[in-house]
Amino acid sequence: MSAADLGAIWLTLKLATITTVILLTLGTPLAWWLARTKSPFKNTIRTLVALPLILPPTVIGFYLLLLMGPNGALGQLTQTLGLGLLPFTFTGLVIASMLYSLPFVVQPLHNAFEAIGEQPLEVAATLRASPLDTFFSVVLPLAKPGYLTAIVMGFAHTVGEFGVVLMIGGNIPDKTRVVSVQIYDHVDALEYAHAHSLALTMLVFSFVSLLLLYRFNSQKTSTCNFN
Amino acid sequence: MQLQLTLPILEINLSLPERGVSAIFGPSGAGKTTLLRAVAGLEPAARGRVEINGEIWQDDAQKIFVPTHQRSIGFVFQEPGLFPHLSVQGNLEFGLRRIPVTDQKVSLLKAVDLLGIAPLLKRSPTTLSGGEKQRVSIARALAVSPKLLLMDEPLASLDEQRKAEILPYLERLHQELDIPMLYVSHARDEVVQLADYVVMLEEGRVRDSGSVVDFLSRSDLVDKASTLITAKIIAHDAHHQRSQVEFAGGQLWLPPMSGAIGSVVRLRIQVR
Repeated sequence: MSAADLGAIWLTLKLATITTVILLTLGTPLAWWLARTKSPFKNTIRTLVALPLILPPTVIGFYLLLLMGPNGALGQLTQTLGLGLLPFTFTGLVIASMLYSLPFVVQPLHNAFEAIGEQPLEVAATLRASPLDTFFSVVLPLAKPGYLTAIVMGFAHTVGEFGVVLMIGGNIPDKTRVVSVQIYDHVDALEYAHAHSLALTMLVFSFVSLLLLYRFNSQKTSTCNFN
Repeated sequence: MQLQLTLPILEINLSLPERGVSAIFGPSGAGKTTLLRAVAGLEPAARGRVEINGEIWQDDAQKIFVPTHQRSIGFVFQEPGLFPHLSVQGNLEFGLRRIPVTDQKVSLLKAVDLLGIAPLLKRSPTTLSGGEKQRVSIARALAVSPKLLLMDEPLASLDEQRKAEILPYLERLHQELDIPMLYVSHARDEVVQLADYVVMLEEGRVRDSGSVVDFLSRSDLVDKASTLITAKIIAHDAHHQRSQVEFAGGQLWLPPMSGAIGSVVRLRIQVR
C-alpha cells in the first residue's frame, strides 16, 4: 500500500471516530427525547432524523454545500466567527458525516430506550434514584446493546460514505481524501491492484465489525430482559 | 395517614391508621393500584393531598409535590422488576446506597434474613424463580428503611404454590418490623391473613372501611361470613401431629402449625 493509501485510511478512521463520538453525545438526548416525549412534533423530528436513510448522498451533499457556502446561513455564521468556510475542510466533512450517519446512531438508541419501558424507571424512583441518577445507573446499562449497535453502525456507515464526501470535501490528500474516494481515484486511473487492496480491506473491515456486533448482541439479549 | 385524591377514575378521602397493615381491597378495576401509585407520586395527574404520619407528600392547595425519589417509600410492584444488569446483592444495595446512613433502620442483613434469600445473593435475577424474584424485590424495598411500605398485589403474578411460599414471609414482616403498610389485593384470603385494617374500594370510591375483625363479621361484604380470632401458639405435639393455641376465650388443639411457640396466628371460623 502506498503512503497515499495509508493516509486515506488514517483520515477515514479519524473521521469515523470523531463523527461517532459526537453523534453518540448528541444522539443520546435526542433519542431519549424521542423515546419519552408525547409532543406532537415527535413524528416530524423522527422523519427528519430518518431522512438521510433514503436521500441520495448527493442531495445531502448539495444542500450542505449551499448551507455551508459563502451565501448559506451556516457559511455566514462561520465567516462571522472567523472560522472561514467549511466546504473542502475536514471540519466540513465531520459535519456532513454527522448528518449522513445520524439515523444509524439515533435509531438504535431510540429503540433501546423504548424497549426499556416505564417500569425500570419507576422502580428506580421508588429506590430513591433521581431521574439523572436513573439514567446513568439503569438506562445506560440496559441500553448497552443499543449503544453497541449505534457505535458499530455509525462508525461503519461513516467509513463507507462516498457521495457526501465528494460533494463537500472534494478530493484533497490528507485533508478530505478518504478511502472510498481513494479507491475511486485508483479505478479512474486504472490502478486495479491498488484499488483491490483497499477495497478488500474495506470489505473485511465491514464484515468483521458486523459479525462481532451480531455475535455480541445475540449473547447479550438473552440477559437483558427486564423482569 | 390522610389521603385525599382525585383522578379520573378515583375519588377518595381516607384516614388510615398510622401503624399496621391497611389492605386496599376490591375487585379489579376498582382503582386500587392507581391509589397506591398516587401515594407513591407515580400518577402525575392525581390531585389532592397526601399526608403520611406528619409528612406532607402532596398538597395541591400549597403547591407541594414531593417527587417519588424523595418520598420515604418502599414499593413492591406486581412484577418483581429486578434490574437484570445487577446481581441479587446489587439489586438489594441499589436503594440502600441512596439513603443517608442515619436513615438506615432496616439492615441489609435483616431484610435478607426476613425474606430468606441469603443463598441467592450472588446470583443473577434472570436465574431466579418467580417466587424468589418477588422475595428479592420485597427485601429490596425494605432495605431503604421506608416510612411506608406500598405493596401492589405482590402475589398476583404467582401461582398458588408460590403464593403459599411468600405469604409466611409477609406475615413475618408484619410481626417483626414496625413499618406501616398499604397492601393492595383482590384476594380475600391474603387480606384476612395480613391486614389489620381494610378499605373496600369499588369503582374508584371507598365503599367501606374498618378493622379486619369488624370487616369479616359483616356478611354483606364477604360472600361467606366468618369470625376471626387472634391466638397464640402454646404447644406443638409432634407425636399426635397437632398444635395447641390459646386465645381470650380458651384453648384449642388444631392441625400442626409451622410457627414457633409464642408466635401469634389468626384463625378464621367460617359460617357454613
